[in-house]
Amino acid sequence: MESFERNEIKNLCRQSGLRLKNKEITKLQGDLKELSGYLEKLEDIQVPEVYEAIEEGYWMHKNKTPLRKDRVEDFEEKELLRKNAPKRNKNYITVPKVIK
Amino acid sequence: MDNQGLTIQQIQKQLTNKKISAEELFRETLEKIREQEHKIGAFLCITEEEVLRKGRALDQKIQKGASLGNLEGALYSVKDNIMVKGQKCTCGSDMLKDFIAPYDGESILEINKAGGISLGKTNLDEFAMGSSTEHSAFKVTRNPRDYKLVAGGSSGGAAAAVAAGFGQFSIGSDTGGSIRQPAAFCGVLGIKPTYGLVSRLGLVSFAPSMDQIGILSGNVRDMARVLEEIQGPEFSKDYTLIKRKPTSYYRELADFEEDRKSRGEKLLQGITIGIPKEFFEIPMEKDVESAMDLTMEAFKVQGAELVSVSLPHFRYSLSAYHVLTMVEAVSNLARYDGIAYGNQAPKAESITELIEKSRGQGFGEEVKRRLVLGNHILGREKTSLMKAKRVQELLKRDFQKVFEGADLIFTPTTNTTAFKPGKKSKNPMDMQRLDELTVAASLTGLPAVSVPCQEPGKLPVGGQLIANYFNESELLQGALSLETALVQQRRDQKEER
Repeated sequence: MESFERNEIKNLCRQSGLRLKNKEITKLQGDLKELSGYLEKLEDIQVPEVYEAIEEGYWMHKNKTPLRKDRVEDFEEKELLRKNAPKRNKNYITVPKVIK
Repeated sequence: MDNQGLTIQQIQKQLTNKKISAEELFRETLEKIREQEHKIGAFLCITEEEVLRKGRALDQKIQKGASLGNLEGALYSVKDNIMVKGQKCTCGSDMLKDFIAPYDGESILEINKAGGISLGKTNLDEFAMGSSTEHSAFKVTRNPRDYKLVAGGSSGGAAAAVAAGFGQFSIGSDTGGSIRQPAAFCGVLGIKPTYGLVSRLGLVSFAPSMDQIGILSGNVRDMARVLEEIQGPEFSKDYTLIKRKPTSYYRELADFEEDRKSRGEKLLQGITIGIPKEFFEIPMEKDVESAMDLTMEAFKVQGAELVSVSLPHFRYSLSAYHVLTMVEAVSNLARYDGIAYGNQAPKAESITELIEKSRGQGFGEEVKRRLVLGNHILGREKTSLMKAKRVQELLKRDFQKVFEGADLIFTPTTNTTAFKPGKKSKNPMDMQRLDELTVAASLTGLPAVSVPCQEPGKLPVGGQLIANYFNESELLQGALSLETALVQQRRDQKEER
């Protein structure tokens, strides 16, 4: 079972865009150790068997989901969207300064 | 008059025969909610005034002698990760506690077009991540069959609402068993249709390669009616497989029954049901085991042939499911940055701090755990991700082999009955094992339904039927046959005593 250093968890939190409290990080150390254990089960899978499956291409069904056209569509309820913004200035969403 | 437990067809008959008005009927349901909801906690919001206003409009329509739509007279509820325009869509999270949906989900539009009337939004595990509805930011939903127990999850509010008689059906979402598992715990039916049959437009994404909208109901006939309405094709945004003609599930179900009756045949005559040995090797609670034995007996009485089958890669399915969904969750939940919508942390010096604090405060424990683990999986040198994708392919092959010799597959939906809050939530592994028997149908995109099959007087147990792609008609026929067989079995047992 993999064990996780505090710094490793902090790094993963940064990658996840999360700022967590110290006690949350401690809890995650324990949880992740346990959870990653059963993910390792996948290592048992024999590689040749796996390639065979991919080569055979077992698709879910013959009807493939068609790709939709990449087109711009006007959304009529813009005000409803804007209303959800935590901070706004008229028709614009306010964000913190990126460059000081 | 007690109008609870009626099918939609029976309700429509009562309404058109003027035995009761829609307003009276709806008031009865709202009264029931007022009496019991504080003990259950199924809803996050109830639209009482709108229900009564629509009830009065329906009465006027009936007075004029207009014909009724497929779902007219039916009340339903919507899991709070599906958008209903102008109403909050919280996903059970503090992150979206004030978010107002700017449009209706496609399935909601279709149900409303057919005359269904929404009672409100139901509770769920945050962003549909969980199996007991204990991970909702707002409250724990209790099981109407026993208030001391959880309702299951993540569509726990939806299952509890149907089990308590708060409306005829509920719309939920199922990524790894989130409809089927709470349906099993609460003693109602829950279907996850074939991936791509029902539009996901308006469903807040958790892991969109497996997320699927489905139905929870008190009986198979109502389920068929609703499925008929929400099935694709949906042309506006291509969220369904459009090369498919719609099926009249309700009509086909009635024809199936009629046909068998007229020929004097048993309902499952000529049907082969595969019993996958790997599912039954997982340790089960005693009540689940005895319910499975009785159900298989009931299948035989209805004329089905039971054959033992094997799904060799089933043993990897839970690991593969969690790898794939956690990785998908990482990218799908990246949009919650506290800027355009959602929780925004009050004090932040920089944009990075704003995003990290907003997410840290807005997401609950389970979501954070999955995001961190998802990032860990993505960063592994010997990546599990490709192996998980390959397990998915191998599993599809296993199922197709089984369907060469079987029409349906039968398994338990869960290996336990409902439990007390806190029993499994302390250990995340215990909670995730609750999906062990449902994730295989999710990984493969196959349609599956959970049917209540507990012994009388015992806690609810669900039996899971799985069919091949787009064979929802056969799946519903199997569910109806099981429903009929179990009623008959109980009647026979009573007479014997």
